[in-house]
Amino acid sequence: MSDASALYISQDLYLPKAFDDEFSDLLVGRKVDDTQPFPRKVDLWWATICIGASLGKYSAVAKDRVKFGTGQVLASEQWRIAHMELLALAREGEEALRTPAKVVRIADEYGTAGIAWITEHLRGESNPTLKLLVEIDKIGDHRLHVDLS
Amino acid sequence: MKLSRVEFVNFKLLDGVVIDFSTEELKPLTVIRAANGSGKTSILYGLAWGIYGDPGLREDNLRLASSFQKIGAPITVQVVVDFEHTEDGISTSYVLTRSLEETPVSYERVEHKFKKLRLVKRLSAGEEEVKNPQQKLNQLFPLRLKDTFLTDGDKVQSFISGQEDRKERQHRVKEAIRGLLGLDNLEEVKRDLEHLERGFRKDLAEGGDKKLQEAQNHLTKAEIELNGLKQSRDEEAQKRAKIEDSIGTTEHELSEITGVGDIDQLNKEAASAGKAHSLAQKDMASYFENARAMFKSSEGFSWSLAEEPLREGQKVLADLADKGVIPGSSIGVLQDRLDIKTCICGESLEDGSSHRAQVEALIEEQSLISAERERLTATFHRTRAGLNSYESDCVDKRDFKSQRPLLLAQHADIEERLRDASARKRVVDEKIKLIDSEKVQRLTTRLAQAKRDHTESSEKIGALERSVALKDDERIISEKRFEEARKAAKGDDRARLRYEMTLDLKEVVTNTLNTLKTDHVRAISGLMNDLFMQIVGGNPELAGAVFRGVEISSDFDIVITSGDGALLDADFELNGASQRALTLAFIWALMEIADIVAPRLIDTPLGMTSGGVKQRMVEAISSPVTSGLLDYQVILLLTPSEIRDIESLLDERAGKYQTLSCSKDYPAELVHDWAEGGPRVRRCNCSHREYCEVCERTDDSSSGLDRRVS
Repeated sequence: MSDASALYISQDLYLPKAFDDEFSDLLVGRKVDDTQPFPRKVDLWWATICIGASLGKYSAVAKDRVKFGTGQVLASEQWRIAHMELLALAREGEEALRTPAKVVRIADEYGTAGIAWITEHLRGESNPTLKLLVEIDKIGDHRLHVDLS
Repeated sequence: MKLSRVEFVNFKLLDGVVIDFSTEELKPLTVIRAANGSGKTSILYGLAWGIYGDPGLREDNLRLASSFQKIGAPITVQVVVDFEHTEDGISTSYVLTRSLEETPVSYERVEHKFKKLRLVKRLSAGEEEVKNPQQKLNQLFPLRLKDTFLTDGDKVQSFISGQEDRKERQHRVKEAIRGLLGLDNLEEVKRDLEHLERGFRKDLAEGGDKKLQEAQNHLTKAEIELNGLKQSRDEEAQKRAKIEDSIGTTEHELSEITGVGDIDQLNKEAASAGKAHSLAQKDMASYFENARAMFKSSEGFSWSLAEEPLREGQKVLADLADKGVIPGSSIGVLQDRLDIKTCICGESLEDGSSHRAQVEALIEEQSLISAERERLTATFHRTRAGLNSYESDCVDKRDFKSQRPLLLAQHADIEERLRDASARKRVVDEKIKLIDSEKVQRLTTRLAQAKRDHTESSEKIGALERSVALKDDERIISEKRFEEARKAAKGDDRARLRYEMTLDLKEVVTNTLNTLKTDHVRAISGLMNDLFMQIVGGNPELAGAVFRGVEISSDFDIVITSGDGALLDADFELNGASQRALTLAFIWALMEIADIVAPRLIDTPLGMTSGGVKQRMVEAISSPVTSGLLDYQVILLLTPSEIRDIESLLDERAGKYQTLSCSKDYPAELVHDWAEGGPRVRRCNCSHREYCEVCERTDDSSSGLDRRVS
């Protein structure tokens, strides 16, 4: 088997600047006694992708973005690459896997929808961890609703 | 006067709401049904503002419009009241319109501009605008009687109970009686007459002989000194009353401290609560750590959240494998076979064998397939393994979805423990504060000083009383000497006539005042007792009766006597229903005896009452006006639960019915969604037995109400 991470090593990771400015400090805490839900920015980024995918929603990525990591992060956790590829395959078929940039872009597009959801549900929250735990369960209801309709 | 109609524009949630009031003598009652939060209190405040302006609300610049009004957006607030006033048998209709423009400048503050008040008299020939409208309104609806006209049921017992101390209560009862009987006006007339008397007496003396002049000088001097002494005595009495209140408060504080408990035990409880709080805080930190571990993205977290699209992606790969587009695991399988040196078909794959060479060639051929296909294969295998692991986690309840509710429960539990520990700590701290030994010392010193001051003040009052009595004797003697001198002297007949007329007038006013203060207060007391006993259903003659009666004492306190003759404390020994009954009986008796025709609007009068008391209370305050009885109007703002069990009585007594509903109750309590925009109150013509598309509530059809046919 070939090492997929070699293909993705040049793919930098980004978050929209406005979102990063407003939410990163509120949602990402590295210290032991921090109360933010996510230990790293990559976890926040990944959660936005999963949320967007779970909602079945995606939209164009923001133009003004800030880089928070390199493909090295992906290399250390290869399951992410596999999952990004599954999301790309589910949406656009095997053609989507032609270029790693496209796979990452599709993931980021789901991430944009996830960011909108986080903005809507967590803006102004004093206890984002609790709110996230409560609200995240309702995403399934939404998806079910879409399925039924 | 009686209210005929009121219209509210943008007052709180009342916009375009019109209420019609019954003015019929045989059905003096208007029933306004409204659930809690449906505008009852807004009606009360709206009328108070309409009639009295800002003084009616006790505070200037209160927010009058809806709190949903946007900051910076001005809005016109208006109340229009139609009422009738009868004087000397002639009834006149008036329309008052009060309005202003309100602009919310922040969430807490509003600005009022363009305040307007217009009062119009309706005559057969047309309308006539009243000049000085507020002055006229003050005559018709004296502000001092506002709480009697417009009563908040929940505050109704403040006359007799609540947090008022005894002195305050006496003051309120006294002021209510003085206000309704017009004692202030009469006392002012008496003072004016006394002033005139002194002036005319001086004129008379100046025209008389030396003896008369001396007698007049002595009398004036005695009067001035007597008034000074009386004033000093009254001031000292007020000072002593304050000292008595202070003694009562200090004794109460001390007795509370005595009953608090042992300080060592309290310290132990405080330490235990503090420890529980720290433990809960530690667990909260651990909860956050657990939550962060859950949100740290992992393959399982990813599957849990985005299972559906990930499965779809995997299905694409599985389809490719089924079609043979991706090689699946053939290279791996072939490599495995090379490693174990036996082919699937059972042939030996020993080194150097031709079969092995064939398999090696096959592996090389497969390896030539594009890297892309290989990646697909790798993804297929890796994610299938990940999915298997996730499914196994789900079975073992180790997945994100299974752990999430546990984490939420952990948070709720810790929150409760934190709240509980904080509350325990607060209670204990409060007790410790109360038991503060310095405070005990301070209170004891204060009490001792207050008792000394009380003794000193009582001695001063005693001395002043004696001086007053002596000076009054002196005044009486001087008055007698003046009268003798006046009769003996020859003087100006006109001056004598003026003086004698003033004396006669003063006597009439003094007698009237005495009658009001004694006979009328007794009459109020008697009527209040009758009404109260009628409402509480007590027969004082019966053995075991709860109450023997109530009366207004000479020092204007309301005194309640129990069946066995003990005096009851209105604050602690009377239940809420009896307190309401007593206050309503007091207000009703006051208005009857004062002979004032006026609306009596009461918001939530029947709270805390039920059964027979409720029935008898409404019976007592809504009787038809028959000959010999004072005409009146009563408006009751009732919740559906207050109406329960008195429907038949309301059928009989009410001349007008209306129902108010607030759109914010949809869909929890209201059945129909009729609101557009922000929340608002609507009125419908439903009686207490009906419902319609505006007011229908979720339990109406099952509670025996009828749909109103419009």
